[in-house]
Amino acid sequence: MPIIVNLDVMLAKRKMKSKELAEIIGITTANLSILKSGKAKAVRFSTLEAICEALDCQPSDILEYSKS
Amino acid sequence: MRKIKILHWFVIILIVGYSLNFIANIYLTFYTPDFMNFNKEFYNKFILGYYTQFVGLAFSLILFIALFFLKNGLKLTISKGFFNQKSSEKLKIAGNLFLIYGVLCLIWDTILLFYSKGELYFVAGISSDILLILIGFSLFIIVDFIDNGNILQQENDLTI
Repeated sequence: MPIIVNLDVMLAKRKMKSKELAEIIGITTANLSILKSGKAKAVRFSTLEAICEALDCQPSDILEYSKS
Repeated sequence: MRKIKILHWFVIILIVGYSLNFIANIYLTFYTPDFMNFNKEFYNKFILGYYTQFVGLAFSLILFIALFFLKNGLKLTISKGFFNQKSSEKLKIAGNLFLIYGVLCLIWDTILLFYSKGELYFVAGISSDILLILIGFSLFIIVDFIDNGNILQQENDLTI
């Protein structure tokens, strides 16, 4: 998929663990793992908003488009 | 789901009834010589004479197997939910078998109808054959719904 999820990078920058983020935004670690691995088919705006708020970043910091 | 449970039990009752009917037919044909002991002129109406009845009996095995697949498909729907691949596969096989049985019986009954020069009994048979073909097609449509639902559910599950 040409959309790359850079959640790992942002988590590393903020020195936050996946489990912590999952707890803050209220999704399961399994779902966060699906999102991180790029297997997710779609992301809800509410989830994106929660991630951006928790990591104090912009949607563009998490999602990237790359021509493949 | 309650309606599917009722349908599941109805199919089980049908299978039991069908089995009893099958056993009774075999018993009456092979172990009671007086039963079906008509004169030779009567059998002349049928294309294969005395053996015509066994063709229908052989065809009914297809329907019997189709009912088994339908029962299994319904059972999987009850245990795993509406949208799952396994029940869709079982229902597809059941649909195929219903269709094959319906088409075979339709051809056979049409041959018998023409051979017997329009005996009313075979006309009634043809209408039930068409009904079975319709059931087969309906099952195919249901399978399409299940497959589409399956894709939608997977996408929904992967929407975070």
